[in-house]
Amino acid sequence: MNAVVDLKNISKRFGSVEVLSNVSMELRAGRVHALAGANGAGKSTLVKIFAGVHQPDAGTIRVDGVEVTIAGTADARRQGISVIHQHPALFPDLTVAENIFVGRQPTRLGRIDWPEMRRNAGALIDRIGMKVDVDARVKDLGVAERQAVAIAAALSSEVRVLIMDEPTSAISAHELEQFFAVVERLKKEGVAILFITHFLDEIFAISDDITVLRSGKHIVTAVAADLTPASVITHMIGTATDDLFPTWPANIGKTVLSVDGLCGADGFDDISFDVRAGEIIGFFGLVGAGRSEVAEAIFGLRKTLSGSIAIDGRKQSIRSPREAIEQGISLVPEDRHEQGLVLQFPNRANTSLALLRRISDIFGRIRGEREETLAETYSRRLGVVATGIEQLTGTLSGGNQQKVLLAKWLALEPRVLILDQPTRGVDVGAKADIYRIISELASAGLAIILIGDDPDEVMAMSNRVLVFRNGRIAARFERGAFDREGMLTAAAHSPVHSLNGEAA
Amino acid sequence: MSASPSGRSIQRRERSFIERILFAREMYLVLVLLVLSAGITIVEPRFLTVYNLQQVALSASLVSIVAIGQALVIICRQIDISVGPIVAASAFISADYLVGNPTTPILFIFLIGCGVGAFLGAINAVIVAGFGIPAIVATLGTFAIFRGAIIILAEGRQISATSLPPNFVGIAELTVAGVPALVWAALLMAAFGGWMARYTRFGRNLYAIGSNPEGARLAGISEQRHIAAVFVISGVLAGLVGVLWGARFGTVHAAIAPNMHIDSILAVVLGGISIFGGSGTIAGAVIGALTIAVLQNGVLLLGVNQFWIQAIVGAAILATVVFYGHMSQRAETRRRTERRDARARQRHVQNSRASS
Amino acid sequence: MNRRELIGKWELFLFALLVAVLVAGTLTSEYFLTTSNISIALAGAMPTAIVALAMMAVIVTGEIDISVGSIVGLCATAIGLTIERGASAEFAVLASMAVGLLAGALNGVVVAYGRVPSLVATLGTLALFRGVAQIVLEERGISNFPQWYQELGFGTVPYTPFPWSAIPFVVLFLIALFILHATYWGRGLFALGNNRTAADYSGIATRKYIFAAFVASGLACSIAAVVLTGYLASARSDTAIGLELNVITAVVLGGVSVFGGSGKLIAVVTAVFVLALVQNVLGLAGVTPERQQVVTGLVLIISLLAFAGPAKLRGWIAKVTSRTNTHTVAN
Repeated sequence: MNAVVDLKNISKRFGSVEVLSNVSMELRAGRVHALAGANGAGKSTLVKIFAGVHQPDAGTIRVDGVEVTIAGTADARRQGISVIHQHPALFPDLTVAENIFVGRQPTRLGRIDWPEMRRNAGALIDRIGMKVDVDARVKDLGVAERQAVAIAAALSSEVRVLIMDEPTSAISAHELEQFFAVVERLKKEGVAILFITHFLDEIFAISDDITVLRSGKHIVTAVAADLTPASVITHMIGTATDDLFPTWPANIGKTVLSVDGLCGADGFDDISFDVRAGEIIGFFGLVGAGRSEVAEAIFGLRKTLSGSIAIDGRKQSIRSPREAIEQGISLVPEDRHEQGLVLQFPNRANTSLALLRRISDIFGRIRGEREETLAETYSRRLGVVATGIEQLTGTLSGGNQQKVLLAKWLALEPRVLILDQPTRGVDVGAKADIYRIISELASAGLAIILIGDDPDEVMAMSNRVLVFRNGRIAARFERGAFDREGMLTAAAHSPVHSLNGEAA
Repeated sequence: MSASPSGRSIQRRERSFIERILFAREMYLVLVLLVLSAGITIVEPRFLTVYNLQQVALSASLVSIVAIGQALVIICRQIDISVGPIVAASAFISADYLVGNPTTPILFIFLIGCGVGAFLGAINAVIVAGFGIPAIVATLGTFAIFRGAIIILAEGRQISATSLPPNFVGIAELTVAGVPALVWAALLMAAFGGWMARYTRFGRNLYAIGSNPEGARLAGISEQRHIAAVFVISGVLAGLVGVLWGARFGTVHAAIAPNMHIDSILAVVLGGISIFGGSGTIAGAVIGALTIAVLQNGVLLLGVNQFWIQAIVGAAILATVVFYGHMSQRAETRRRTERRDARARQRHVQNSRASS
Repeated sequence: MNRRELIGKWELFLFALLVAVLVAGTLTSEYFLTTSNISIALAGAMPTAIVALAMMAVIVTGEIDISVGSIVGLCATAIGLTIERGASAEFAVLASMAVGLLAGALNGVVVAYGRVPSLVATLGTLALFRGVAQIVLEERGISNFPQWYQELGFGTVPYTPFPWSAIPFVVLFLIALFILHATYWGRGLFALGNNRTAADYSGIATRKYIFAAFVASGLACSIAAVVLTGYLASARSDTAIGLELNVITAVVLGGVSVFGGSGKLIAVVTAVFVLALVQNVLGLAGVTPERQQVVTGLVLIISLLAFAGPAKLRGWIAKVTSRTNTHTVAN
């Protein structure tokens, strides 16, 4: 059987980071190919190369044995390749039917045939086996329903290759069962499917072939029956690279932050934990498991319904980031472009942004020399590579931007430091630097919360780990009793054995 | 509401919810219109005379044609401040031509007016779509340029009804089935605009662009071309209104329609079209224009000082946008609550499953 | 791509433009460089200049205030009314400031807390404020101002060509320069104009900042109303109609991005004077106000187009870099 799409020796780099090197894979008609890998392994880049969003720097793409270039999304579609992105680009104000057929509505005599469009949309939705009102507006739908709309849209033109980037990350167990049924049906129709997911149980439930990527490198491709969940995890994580992580003497003091029974309006329930001075607590969990939401609640960005937050044993009501900063809490947010930095500002202004009041005189004038000293000091301490503190932050590499972001929050001299995925999208060198800085901060007596979805990182850096699942703390591990597989199992949201026999 | 997490029950509940939202916007306006008319009628029964209703419909028809163009512009997340000067330019140029050439066929006069509108709209289109200049400042600039240019062109002249041929001025008196021709023109434009917005790919693409420009690009819709098109359409409709203006009032000078941008935007906003683009209907804009006309007629009939009109219009804009803003915020909170409930149910199911 | 440098170049361009207009004016009219002409030109430019100071703050946040002309009209109405009722001119100034403050606060509440787009909100208040002025004054003009009050708008500081109204302008300019470019408050405005989420995460109370910018705009309008009624020696309900066009033109010509987050006050003020002198030269050459309006509109569009070139380039660079970012982040 020949491959429908065949990628050979694909490489791609962005700036100084090589994101894919020499990756090859084939998609065959009627087979589900799973793509596994930790965060940053290069899965999304590979998907974007399939979709024509990115062009590879090296390597060839063949469709039906003919070498092609995929110039863009529309071009990919013309060649029969449809992609469902993790966050599908839907039109919130339009109806489900319109979202499915946008730009390609069925017409009769030059006039959009609404009944026909609604019928076709209904048929596609039925084909997926979901129940979504075709007249509903997408902005009124839940996450799973939106996902269904995206799948239906992908199927609305003739599809030979369907690529699904983490389609299951937001759907419930019941919907998952339906989703698998859809995949089975498409498989029987002869569609080649590429399936990307974090969840190993899902991989083994529906895949025929499995490819594992790690740090942009092709690790293994094999028939699913030849692999086990444990071997896939080993391939994904590799042997722990211990030299990346520093060691430091634990110097644990009194409890600084204690959270008790915290319930949020959106995303988490009954969260309790303490963080002591000099201690790093790891928050491990998947996206949407509630770990970032808890951090944002502590930082005053989210409303809480009940529960309490205490600093040094005194209860505090924190209603805004400003109040959190006054209490000595710093949050290094996960998205440095959206939430963290003003890319148009020089490093100096980014470093001082959260503490401008402190370095201003009674007229509100920012004391220039203090601002510069501060920026210089932290720039040196964190090893920011730049032409100077006046270089615009947007022109720095990802790793250096991340260091500026750290500088901004460390300059506040916080007592509690929350780091939300501090090494996301940075290269290995910067990673090692950031780990070293975190360990130094812990030695200096900061209470640190480290949020991550790389189990290695969380285990190597934390004194204790809390595993989040569905907005709750699913498991707690102490240093010395860390268990990688145990953590992954606790974080995975749908034990596969409970899927069968689940009645609505 | 059942506790079952099955798709069907969620779907049915949300559908009725959407219907509520959908109807809330336009129903709100129709209700306001009815209450307003009833109130005026109670105080001043002359409101309900055929003559008065004709006058209301006539003034509504001119604004509503401009508002149809404005609605298309706003649906794809743009705005056109320059409509008033376009009306004036079209009115003056077409009427001036007619004075010089009284035997010109009326149809040709309409072509001149619409051509002037298309030309000026195309200038907006090039600046906004071609150069990517924000529509608000771009059309603020052309607003000044167009108005200044037409004042220069008019050289302070004023064209009066007596110098226009009777068959042209007669258009305003023409009635078909008791309804003035101008009103028919507006209804025709509304029907055509509404049809285009709902039944053509072009129209739906405008909603897609307004709703999610990035997504529209991914779907292969050319944002530039559509934005350029709506500015030209808005210009053509303003040009058409210019000719009708000359026919209706007979008197044309360079300073007419000074508040057309405010009136047309108000009609659109009142009609429930989101200023952020992507939602709303042409019918809403027309009902909005009708509401403004009733309001202004009522103010006149009730003998309220005419100086009140502008303040009332301004207050109406503010009240409407604040009301809609509040409503969409409440809807957002509500959706969030519902999603949370759904998630809580899921969690409950999963937890109980995990423990079994 | 260093933006500071770009704006530096733009300022140089504006200075060169200013010099060119001065030269052109001197060559075309012998009256141009006379003390009386320069002081008339400056006095006429003061209301626009004063309002532009605050408009810059509003536009830096990414919002816009198109109700400024109407606020000035409403403040002028308040001045006229109080003077008509026999109150002192000092009281009239206070009344104007109170009205400006309230009008700005209304805009600020609706935009910052009611989450209404500033464009529609201030379009609404543009009609509302003008309408209220019309209700109050109808078609009357009030002109029995005390002598010193008219001096404020038209007279000059002894031995200089500078009108008295230049003094409040210079004071306000220095205050605005200080606030926008030296204080944490100004830094916060720029930060939120560039990235509102990051500003929120940094503990900056973004709503308060936006509210304050609109209040500042209202207050600046009230001072402009005092200067303008003095200059015109009358207060009418249609005072300062269309002022927003002049002000926004000056701010955009001054290199402030309408998307927020960048700009320099000195460039905006230079742009105000460039525009004022252009209009003055045109006036001396016998060009009618209508033609001057066309020129103002053209200057607005041309300066926007001049920015679109580099902006398109910037956009392209941003697209390339953001592609890198989305990539590295999305993995």
